[in-house]
Amino acid sequence: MLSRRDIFKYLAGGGVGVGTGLLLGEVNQRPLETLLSTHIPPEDFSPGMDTWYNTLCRMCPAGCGIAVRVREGRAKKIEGNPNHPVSRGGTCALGQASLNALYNPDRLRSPMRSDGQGGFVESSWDEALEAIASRLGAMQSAGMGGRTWILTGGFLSSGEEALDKFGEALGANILRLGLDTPATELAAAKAMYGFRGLPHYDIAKADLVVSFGADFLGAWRSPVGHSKAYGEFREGGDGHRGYLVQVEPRMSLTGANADEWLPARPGAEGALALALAADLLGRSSADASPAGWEELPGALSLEEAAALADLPAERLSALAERLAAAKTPLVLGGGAAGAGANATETLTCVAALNRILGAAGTTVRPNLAHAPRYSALSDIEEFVAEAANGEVSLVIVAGVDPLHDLPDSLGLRGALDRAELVVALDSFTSDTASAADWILATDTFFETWDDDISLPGTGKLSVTLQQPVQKRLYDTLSVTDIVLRLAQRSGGALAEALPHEDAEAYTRSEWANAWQSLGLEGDFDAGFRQVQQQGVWVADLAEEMAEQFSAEATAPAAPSEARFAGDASEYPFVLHPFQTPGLREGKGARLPWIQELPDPQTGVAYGSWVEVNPATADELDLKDGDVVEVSSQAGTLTAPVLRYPGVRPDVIAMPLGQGHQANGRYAQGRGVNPVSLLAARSDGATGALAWAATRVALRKTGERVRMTKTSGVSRTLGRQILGPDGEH
Amino acid sequence: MSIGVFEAARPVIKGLIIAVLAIVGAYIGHWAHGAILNDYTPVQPIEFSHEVHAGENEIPCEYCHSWASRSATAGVPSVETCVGCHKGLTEVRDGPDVVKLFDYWERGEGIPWVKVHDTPDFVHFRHKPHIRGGVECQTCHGPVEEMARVTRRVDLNENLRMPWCIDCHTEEDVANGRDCLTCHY
Repeated sequence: MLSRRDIFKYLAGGGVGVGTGLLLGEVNQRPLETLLSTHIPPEDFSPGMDTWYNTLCRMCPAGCGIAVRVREGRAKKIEGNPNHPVSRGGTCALGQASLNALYNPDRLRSPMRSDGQGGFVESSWDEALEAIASRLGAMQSAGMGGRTWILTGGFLSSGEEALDKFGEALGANILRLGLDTPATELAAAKAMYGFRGLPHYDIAKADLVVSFGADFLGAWRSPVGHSKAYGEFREGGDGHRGYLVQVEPRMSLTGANADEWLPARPGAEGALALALAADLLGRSSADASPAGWEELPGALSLEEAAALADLPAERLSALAERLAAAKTPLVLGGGAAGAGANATETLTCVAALNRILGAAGTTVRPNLAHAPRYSALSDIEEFVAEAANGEVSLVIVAGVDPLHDLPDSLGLRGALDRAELVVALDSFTSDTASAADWILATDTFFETWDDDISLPGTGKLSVTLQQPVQKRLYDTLSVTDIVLRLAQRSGGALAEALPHEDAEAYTRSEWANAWQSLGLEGDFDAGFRQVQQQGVWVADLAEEMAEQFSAEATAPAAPSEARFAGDASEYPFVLHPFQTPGLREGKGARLPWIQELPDPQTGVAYGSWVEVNPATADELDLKDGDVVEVSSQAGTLTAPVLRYPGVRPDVIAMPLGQGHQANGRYAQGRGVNPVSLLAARSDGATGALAWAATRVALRKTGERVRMTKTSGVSRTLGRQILGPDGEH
Repeated sequence: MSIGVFEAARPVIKGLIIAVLAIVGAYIGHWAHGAILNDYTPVQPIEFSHEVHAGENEIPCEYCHSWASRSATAGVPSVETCVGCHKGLTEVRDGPDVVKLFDYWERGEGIPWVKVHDTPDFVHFRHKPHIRGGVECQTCHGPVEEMARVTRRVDLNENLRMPWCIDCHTEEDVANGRDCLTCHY
């Protein structure tokens, strides 16, 4: 029976429950959201409606045109600009993720001053610019501008030109830095096509593409533009299906897409190309050959070349047959093949093959006769030596991160330590910026004006305009703005050379000058407005603007033997650093979407790994995830092993782009940087850094880690997907 | 013997009954909070009265919420819009909330209004088709012109829950009105 007491108990229980429920409902409400009204809205402001602005992606020198979706004055999404001749409506992962730079929690929000103990304190633009300009002014009046060094990248933009003018007016030295620069390719184009610039490679038109090391679909030059062209190459409107042969020691994304993958020994690519060229020359009479050469002295026979490159001779002769039969062949060279100690010779042989095939002028065409000049290793050495002598007063680092992207063995860190004043212009505390005395916080490319002539070229003259798609989020300035303000505050020749008010005025005046010098008709303001809408200015001025290929060229000499830093007995493996499509040389590491993006070949995300051929791995008793010590003459690092069948047994491949010491929470301390293993070797002809000319040794540490990997196993587990025999 | 066991278990069973009652009670309480007691009337940074503006002075809704028929969101007016009228209205210039408005104007700041009506992030409600289709603002927002402080009234639209949307879409025979992707995309 229910007692009176029980009824009270039950009622109390129910009552407490109801009360708890009510309280829960009260506590559990959706968080308070606010609707911030505008103060004075821009005329075209309509909340909830998208506005698309065409502008320029600055994540790599390819210079794709992009369209940014903006809502309520904030950039939201990036798509390709369909008007743009390079990207043609496409974007890559790095471009898509560049919004992560704009909204990154670790972006610098104001100029920063070093506190002398490795930390930084917030400063103001007035304080920062005054401190630097007073030194500039003093150096200028004392005629000591030569004690200034400007470290920058290789964009062909108005902003870079402003930096050039600044350096020139000051009498400063300019270093154009980068790991994978086209310096060797420029030299080869000069030697073989008589052309001062990078050629335009028309992949779409080719019926056979032989690529020596150029991962043109993954990370070489302009993967977006090349992917579009590759689509037409495979399924063109005229019904042809192009054939792709990839020659490289480690299977890249392009290698995986190729019909044939030839894992040539690193450094043998030039001899291989020359042997193919000589074989083709032997098939035709000298006057029928487009190159006009009778013979190629020093060229190996196909059998000898096959032995040197460690490839089956019959595959090489089949390739020669294919080349001879092709109507519109194209040979590409780049990547690690353009970064050995004999890189320029290698790429010259590749270009010579194009000449003999008649590709020069058809699938390889002149582009703009305008190319950046990259610094040789000797220029960097000069900077380091002057810094060691205490002759460097000011270093301005703009838009590059040489302490991460270039080997420690160059001694740049010590040089920056010894320089009196180091000023870094960056949006993040990059590895280099953290060694600076001042970090001047820069805009992302969504917030300021500039332009760019795209490096891959389009066969036409096309200049992409960069315009702000939203207001500045923080107290930042663009590199151009900083240069202009410094010039104004320093006075003298600097102020005269750069009298413009800001980046917008400067960019407009550059365009107005070009408008005039090209003799274009019509009103400039109306024309510029149209460019702002289209995002790009394209003119079929290639004929007038570009130097033509010279009719004659000297036959190339046989490339010298590939030399590597480190003795083969002590360091048995050649290190093959490669770029992944997202991280590239390291610019992607600060973007969380890119960190999350698995490498297309291995499925690994968020870290570094060492690719070892399974045969080599068995010899050394290495399994996936075994941590190994990789050491070279220049350095040592540890990273987990990934058994990868697409790498030669005598080659170790490592992805670039990780291993930052600073650069925000997403990049800092993640993975390792294979650049630290590179010895200070250079290409013989250009002096460019040979980043694929270092040998390494492997040692098992006994430690094991689990890698973040999207794919489980790479084997077919007996399902016989890849044919009946063997275990894949 | 069996009675003995029952006797021993008695306090446990009683405890269980109390727990069950408490849980049922909690459900009832939570439901009551959402369904009966949940008129939502946040305090705004400026005590703006729709009763005065839209009611007494009969200013049309779209005079200030001017994007309702053109965009997904109706939008809140810019500070410039408020000041545009109030510059001339010297007789109310000294009202405490008008003084606040001019403070925002002089500081060059926007006003952080608190959202009253909101749909969850996985629902895309668009004003434009509703306004152009002739739905009155009051159908969803209630008689705003009678509210001194805007309230989300629970008796009106069950807090903008999905069945209420679907009922209307069905009654009005809205094209694709019952398609998931019309609102969830």
